[in-house]
Amino acid sequence: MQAESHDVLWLDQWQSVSISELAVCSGLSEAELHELVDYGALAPTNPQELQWTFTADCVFRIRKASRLRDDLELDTHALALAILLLDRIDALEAQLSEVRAQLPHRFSQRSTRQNKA
Amino acid sequence: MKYKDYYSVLGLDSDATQAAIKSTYRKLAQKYHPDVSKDPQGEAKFKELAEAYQTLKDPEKRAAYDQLGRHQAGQDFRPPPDWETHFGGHAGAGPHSFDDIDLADLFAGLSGGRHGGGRARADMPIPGRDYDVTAEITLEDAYRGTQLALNLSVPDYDDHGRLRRVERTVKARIPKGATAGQRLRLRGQGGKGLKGGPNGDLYLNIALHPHPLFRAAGHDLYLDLPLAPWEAALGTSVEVPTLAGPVQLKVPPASSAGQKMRLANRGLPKPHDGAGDLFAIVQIAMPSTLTERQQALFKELAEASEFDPRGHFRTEAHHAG
Repeated sequence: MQAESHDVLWLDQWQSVSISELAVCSGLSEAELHELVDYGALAPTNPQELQWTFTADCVFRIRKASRLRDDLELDTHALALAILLLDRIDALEAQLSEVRAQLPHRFSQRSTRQNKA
Repeated sequence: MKYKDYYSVLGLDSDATQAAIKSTYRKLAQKYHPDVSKDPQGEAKFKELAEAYQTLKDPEKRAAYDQLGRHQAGQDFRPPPDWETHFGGHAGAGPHSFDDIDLADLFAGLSGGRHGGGRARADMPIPGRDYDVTAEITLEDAYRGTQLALNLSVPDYDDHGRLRRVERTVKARIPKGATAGQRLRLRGQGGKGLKGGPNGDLYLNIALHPHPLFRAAGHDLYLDLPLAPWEAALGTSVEVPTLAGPVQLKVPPASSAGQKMRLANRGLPKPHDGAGDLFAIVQIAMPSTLTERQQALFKELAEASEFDPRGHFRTEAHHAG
C-alpha cells in the first residue's frame, strides 16, 4: 500500500490495496472477499491476475460491511446486497449535497429577513 | 461499578429464551445500527444493544451476569465475593478493585468459557484496536491542511492486558485537500499494541463544518454573488472572497440570476494535484426600499424596454398544447 508522509493513506480511487491488506484491515477473510466479488459488491482492478488488488476507496465500505456482518449476523449474500444498497445511498447523498451546494443559501435568507423587517 | 440492565435494554424479561434474545437484538440492531440508521441517537442506542447482546447471547456470560443480581440501572454495586473466582474474569491479573471498571469491559474480559475466544494467551501479541472517527474540520483547514487533537473515549488495554475505557487524545495530521466524505487511514495512530503486537490504525472520515460564505461539493466551491440590478445589466468588476484571499471578478453585462461564473482552480486543492474551481452564482439583489427618484428611474426604464422575460411561457405552453 503506498503510504504518504506520516503514514497517511488517502482511501480514494487513486490508491490501491491488495486483497490480503483488505482482509487484515476489514476483518473479513480472503474467501469472504472473493464471495463479495462473485456477488458483484466488490470489483478488483486486475480481475485477470492471481493476486487481486482493489482501489483504496473500498476500505471504508468493506470495514463497514464487516461491522454489519458481525453486528447484524448477516451471511455473505445478504451482506453483498447491503453493500450495494448502501453504495446507492452514498451516491445519492453525494448528488444531493452537490445540488444543495448550488442552491442560493445565505443571500435568500438575508433577503427573507429584510422583507420581514 | 455501575449496574446496567441488559434485559431492559432489549425490552425483555430475565427469563427470555436465547431465541427471543437473538431475534429481539436483530430487530433492534437493524433499526439503530450506525452504519444504516440516520437516527442521531442510533449510535448510542446500538452500543447499548450490542453490549447487552454480547453478554446475553453467550449462555455462560449470561449466567455470570445473572449472578450479579438485579439492581437499578446506573446503581453502584459490587459483584458477590466469589464471583470472580467462579467466572474467571481477569484471571492472573491479580486482585483489583471493581470501582473503575465498566461492566462491558468486564464481560469482554471473560473468556466465554471453553471456547477460549477473546482472552489471548499470556505470551501472545495483541494488536491495538482500530479507531473509527468522524472529524469535522473547517473549510480553511481543508484548504491548508491541519493538525487535530481528537479527544476519544475508547476501549484500550492497560498494562495488565485488561480492557478499559480510556480517554485518549490522538493527534492527527489532516493533509490539505481532504474534503467532506474523504476517508484517511493514519497508520499506527489507533490503540496501542501489547506484547509486541502492532498499534491499531486511526480511520478518519472527514466532515466539513458549514462555512458562512462557501458551500463545498467535492473540491468545488459555490459562492452566492449578489448583484444590484444595474450591476447585472451593465456589467462590473467586483471583489469576491476566496480561501486564498480576495480576487477581482469581471461580471459581463446582461448577467442573469443563476448564472455561474467559474474561477478556475480557486476551490479546494485536490489531494494528488490540481484544485477544484470556485463558482460564483449570480443573484439579483433588490434594495428593500426605493426613493421616489429611483422609482421614477425604474418606471422610465420599464417604458423604454420591450424586454419580455416570460416569453417562453407562451411558446412552451403552445408546444405542450
